[in-house]
Amino acid sequence: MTSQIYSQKKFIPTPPEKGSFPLDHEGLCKKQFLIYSSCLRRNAHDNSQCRVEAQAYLGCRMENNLMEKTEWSKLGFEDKQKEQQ
Amino acid sequence: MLRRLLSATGRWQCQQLLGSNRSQSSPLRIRWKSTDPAEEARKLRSRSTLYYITAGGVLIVGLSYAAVPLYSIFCQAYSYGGTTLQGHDAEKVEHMVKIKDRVLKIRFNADIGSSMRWNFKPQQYEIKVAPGETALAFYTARNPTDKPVIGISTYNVIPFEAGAYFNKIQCFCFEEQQLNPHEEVDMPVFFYIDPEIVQDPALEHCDTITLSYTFFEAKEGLQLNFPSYAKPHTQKVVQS
Repeated sequence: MTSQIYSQKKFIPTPPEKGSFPLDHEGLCKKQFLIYSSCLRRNAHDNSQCRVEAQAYLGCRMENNLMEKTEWSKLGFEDKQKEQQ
Repeated sequence: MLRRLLSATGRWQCQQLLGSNRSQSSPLRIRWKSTDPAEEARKLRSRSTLYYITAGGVLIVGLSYAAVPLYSIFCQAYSYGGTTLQGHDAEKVEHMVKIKDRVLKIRFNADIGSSMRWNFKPQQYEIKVAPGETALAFYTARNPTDKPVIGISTYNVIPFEAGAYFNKIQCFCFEEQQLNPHEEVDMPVFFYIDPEIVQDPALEHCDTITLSYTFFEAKEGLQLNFPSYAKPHTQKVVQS
């Protein structure tokens, strides 16, 4: 058991890069969340199919001051129509 | 030898004479006060040895106490033992390439501490993610009590080796979150898997990664001690 501890890489919890999401107490982005959830269920929980809906949810968060506004490229999304606004 | 004996007896007689000045009721006690120089030297030697040994013991105890901060300074400077010097790069997210042929299943698990009164569960059982692609996942927490409850969470990634490649861009952990009575909120986790995971031979056959969050109740004035190698939050999001 001790030999396993010394050879294994330790797990170190790291705080997230952009900090913590403030809670959506009023449910302002609930609609986008439900759209995203239903998209996931339709596509057998495949993340690649639901990128647009995820982007919509994060956009809603940004608009309602629940998330810091950053460029889409920094979040790993392609610059789509959101960037043009 | 004889001289020694004679001198000793001489001293003894001297002592007796001195002793007669004391009260007659106490019995005469013969004290063998030796002022023999060889014995004195031996005593001095043994005393100094004792002092040396005591000093050595104190030094060792002091060193073992000092070793704790010294060791952590050394580790931080030379990054031994898993401590990392560099953090995650925001630049990395922009330029990383999605690896299409290796799809990983991320399972989500939700736990609560024993005294925590929230209902906490993941919204999806699993998500299929390719390394290099950012993904969004949700947890739901509900406060069924009549009082506001403050929670704070921590997370865990299994297998441990995969935890090094699991990078969270934003989540809800390590900060106090308050839920009002009978309130339900959705908590998102925005993360990505580092594309370098495909180059790790230890994770060659790893298909499933489990992300487990545990919520604990935060008491008033609770100060959590984060380890020194944990990065502080880079930006605090301003609430409206």
